[in-house]
Amino acid sequence: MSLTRRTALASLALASTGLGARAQSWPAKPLTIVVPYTAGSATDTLTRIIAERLSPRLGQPVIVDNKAGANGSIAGGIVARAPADGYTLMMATAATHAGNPNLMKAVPYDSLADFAPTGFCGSIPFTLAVRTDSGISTVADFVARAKGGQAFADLRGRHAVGAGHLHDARPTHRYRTRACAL
Amino acid sequence: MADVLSGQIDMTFIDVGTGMPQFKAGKLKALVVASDKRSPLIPDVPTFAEAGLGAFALDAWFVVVAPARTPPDVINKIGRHVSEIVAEPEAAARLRAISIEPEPMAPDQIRAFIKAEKEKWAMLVKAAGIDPE
Repeated sequence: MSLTRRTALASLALASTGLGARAQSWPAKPLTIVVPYTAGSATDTLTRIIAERLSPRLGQPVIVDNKAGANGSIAGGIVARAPADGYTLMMATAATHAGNPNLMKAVPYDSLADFAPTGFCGSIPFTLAVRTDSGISTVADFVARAKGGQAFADLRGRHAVGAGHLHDARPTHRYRTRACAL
Repeated sequence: MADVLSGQIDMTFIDVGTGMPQFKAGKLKALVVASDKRSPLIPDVPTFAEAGLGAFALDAWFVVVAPARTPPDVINKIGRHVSEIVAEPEAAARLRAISIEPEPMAPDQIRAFIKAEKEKWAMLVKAAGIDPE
């Protein structure tokens, strides 16, 4: 960039917005919040609740953009590489920013280095669930049904790591007993 | 969850929000909650500690993030708005209706929280002997 052009741009910026231009002019166009899951998911509904209240506060439309796939990792990769101009945001989750980096080999982002957290929204506890018609009504029932009777300790290990398809338990499977104190 | 519904597997570990539609429809049953206290949505379901399984807490959580290097003043503005929104009684009620408990968190604590959660999951995955897929 030539000195003349740089000077001209700088002058233009100062003339139009003055000092602290970025803070004063943002947001000058619609924002997008990328949702790592499909429309209708809890994450999506949460994002829409936030977006429709954020819009009047910022005086700009706030668009919710669903980019589902790879347990949310696709959205993470998109936002990690998006311009850092305050117009692209993401509803990050425990799965996208804590689980996936440990559970998946190829996550296209660093959940700490590639993102700046803004506001915390809330949380939902995990639960162990079975089919209602399975005949299992307590954890003890499940354990009693498991061959070898060693699934119990493993419930606190393998099956307590929660994201999508990885926390499945098969009573017929023999697990090694592992301590997993938290 | 699809696999447990179809009978391919017998148990799954899901967040209460994802499971609620199936719990309400009577297709899935929650056995135990991985939290320090019971969920108001499934108040009859005991915690890990109450079920004699030892204390264990693992939550699904939600944070609005921006790409790194987004100007700090913009980050602070968005963060302040998001914190105020989830504290609004009407918005909080809507969040609770989809199983999300609104929680305040100081902006300077969020990064440390995410880091701690990432480390917790790393420990769980290692303890469980899971090979990343």
